[in-house]
Amino acid sequence: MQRRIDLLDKHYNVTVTGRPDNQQLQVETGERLTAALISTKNGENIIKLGEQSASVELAVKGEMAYIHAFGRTFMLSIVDPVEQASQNTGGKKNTARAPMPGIVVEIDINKKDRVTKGQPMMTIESMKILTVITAPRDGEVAQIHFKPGDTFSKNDVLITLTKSRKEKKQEE
Amino acid sequence: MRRLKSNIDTQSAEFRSYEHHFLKLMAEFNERQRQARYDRPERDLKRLRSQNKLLVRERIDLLLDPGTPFLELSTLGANMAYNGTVPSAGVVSGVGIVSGREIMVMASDSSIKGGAWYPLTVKKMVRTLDIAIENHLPMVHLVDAAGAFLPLQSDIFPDKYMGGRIFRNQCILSAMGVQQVALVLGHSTAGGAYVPTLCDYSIMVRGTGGVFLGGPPLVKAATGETVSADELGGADVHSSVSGTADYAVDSEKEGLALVREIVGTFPQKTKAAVERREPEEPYYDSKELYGIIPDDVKKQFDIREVIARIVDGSRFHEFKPDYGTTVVCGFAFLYGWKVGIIGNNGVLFSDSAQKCTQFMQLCNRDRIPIIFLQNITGFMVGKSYEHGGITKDGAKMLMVQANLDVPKLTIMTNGSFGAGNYAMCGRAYDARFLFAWPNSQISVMGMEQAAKTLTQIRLKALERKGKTLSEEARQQIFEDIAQDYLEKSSAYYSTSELWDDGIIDPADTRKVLGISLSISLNTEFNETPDGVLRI
Repeated sequence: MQRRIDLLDKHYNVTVTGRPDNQQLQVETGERLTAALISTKNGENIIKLGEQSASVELAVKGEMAYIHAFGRTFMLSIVDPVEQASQNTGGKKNTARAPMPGIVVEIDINKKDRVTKGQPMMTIESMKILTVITAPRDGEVAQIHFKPGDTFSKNDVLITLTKSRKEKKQEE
Repeated sequence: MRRLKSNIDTQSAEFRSYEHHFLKLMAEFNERQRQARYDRPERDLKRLRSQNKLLVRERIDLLLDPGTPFLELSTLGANMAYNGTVPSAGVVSGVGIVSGREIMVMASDSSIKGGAWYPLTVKKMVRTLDIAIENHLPMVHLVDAAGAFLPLQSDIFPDKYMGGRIFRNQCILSAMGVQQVALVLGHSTAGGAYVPTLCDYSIMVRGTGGVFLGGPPLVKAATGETVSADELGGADVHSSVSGTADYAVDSEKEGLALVREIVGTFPQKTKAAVERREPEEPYYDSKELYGIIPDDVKKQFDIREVIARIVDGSRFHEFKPDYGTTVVCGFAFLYGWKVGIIGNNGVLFSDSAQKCTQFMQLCNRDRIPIIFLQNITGFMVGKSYEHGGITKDGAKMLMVQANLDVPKLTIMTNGSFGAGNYAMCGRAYDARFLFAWPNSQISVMGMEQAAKTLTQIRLKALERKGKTLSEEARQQIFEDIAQDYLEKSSAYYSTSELWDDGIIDPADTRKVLGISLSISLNTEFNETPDGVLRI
């Protein structure tokens, strides 16, 4: 079982092997050490790694784990592995397209506005339903292709965002 | 499974204004529900007290295990019929826990017209028994009904799904091995006499309880015989002479305690083998739904925001997320049970219908119950869509949905118009339970369109008769039609006619679905053949 742990701005690939009662922990390609987390009856948690051991306090709330050890507190957010992996891939859309034919009712943004993913940009009406078109990713509005009252067909590009820095770099 | 990320800003002006709007709807809903449950004419309450009778809800309180939930069905049934004089259609039905067992309770409300059966009373009783049949739910009947409401007898008695169906359903239940107990708390005359008599166990209360095919006045008229009700068919006569009942008790309280004792001897159900894990509360607050549902049925909202406030840990695995995006399909856990969820995020296109069809087949193969969250204006129209086979793809969705083996549960969250209602498991498609939110609307098409069409037809008919109308009169006709259409599209009208199993508070959706799901797992799923798809 391999996990990526981000601690104090650094990434570590951590491999856990062995049986539940005798687990081995390996950080990156380092030495494999016996590791254990022991909860005592009085609520104390002792973490053991190789020959060393330390008392820690920990609490998990929602997607955050709070760990107090070695005289300081660490906050670890638990990131879903699918999400973590998907962040590494590029190819985010630059355009918001029409999900169905319709008419533009309202535009909430202007050219050159900064938008964040999920931000409402335009309201359209189709089949008697008002649908809000949101930003597909963070970015800057490059072009708004229709104005209120205009009709459009399915898949027409409604709004284009400027290319992301990463894409620009790749082109260079 | 990944946690859904809500995009709702609970501090935004839009959220506040939607919430304000919805809280008004909730106030109206709560008030209507309170009236249906508790407002009764003083005269009727006095009469019952003088007969030493408890009110129907007091009886149910004594019947159920303390501190357990009671899922009441169709509380607002008949709220817009009979000038509102028959609240809850005159009968209380719902699922509760009696001696640790899930039980369907059906109790006549004798504070309303002596518990007389109106057409909608019968419809509600038949539906209640249908639920018991579909979900193998043992039944407790609290019988205290005067009999059919005679002026409307032609709408109560003869047809397939009318009075006779009540007794027919009781017989079917018996053959299925589903237990039934009756407690007779009033006079059960004519057809009504069969309700307790067809049960496995029948208890009668001395003095007030009576069972006879013809009551004393009818006997007198027919044969001239003078006989008191007690002599004719009282508790002691039936429990010791005729054998029509099994137990005689001195009071309602004793009777209800005896019902609990009898139910306690029923075998415990083993639930269908569905994957289960430790339940987890949703991460997001269900009360936020009030600020998510827009103030206008025309405004779209992201159904994922609803899913996030219903399922365990707000976790959801979305299936085919980038395909047919106007519908959301995926897996989640509800009180630890795995479920498939299908929710609308716009009009159904060919690709969205295909996605649903594929997803439903997955759920059916893997024995996963499906929850439908309806907010649907229908299927897309237009030349390119017809050429693309939209009707064919909708037919596929219907074919698979109608023939699913796994239990289906439907929630009307907002709009439900046209064929979309069918595809998304509307009333005709045998959802085990179907509940509606108070804001929801249902009709064959949206109000504006329908009212315009109807107005045109009306005007043409008038013109043919040679009448010319002023612009004002035309407008008036449109408004009258629109008003009527809107009223008949409302959740209150829908629930009045028993097109659903009740209106619920959106914030209770998780609990209601949890109870419904638990009930629907009372029996292993059937294995029926699949229909032929027009590929």
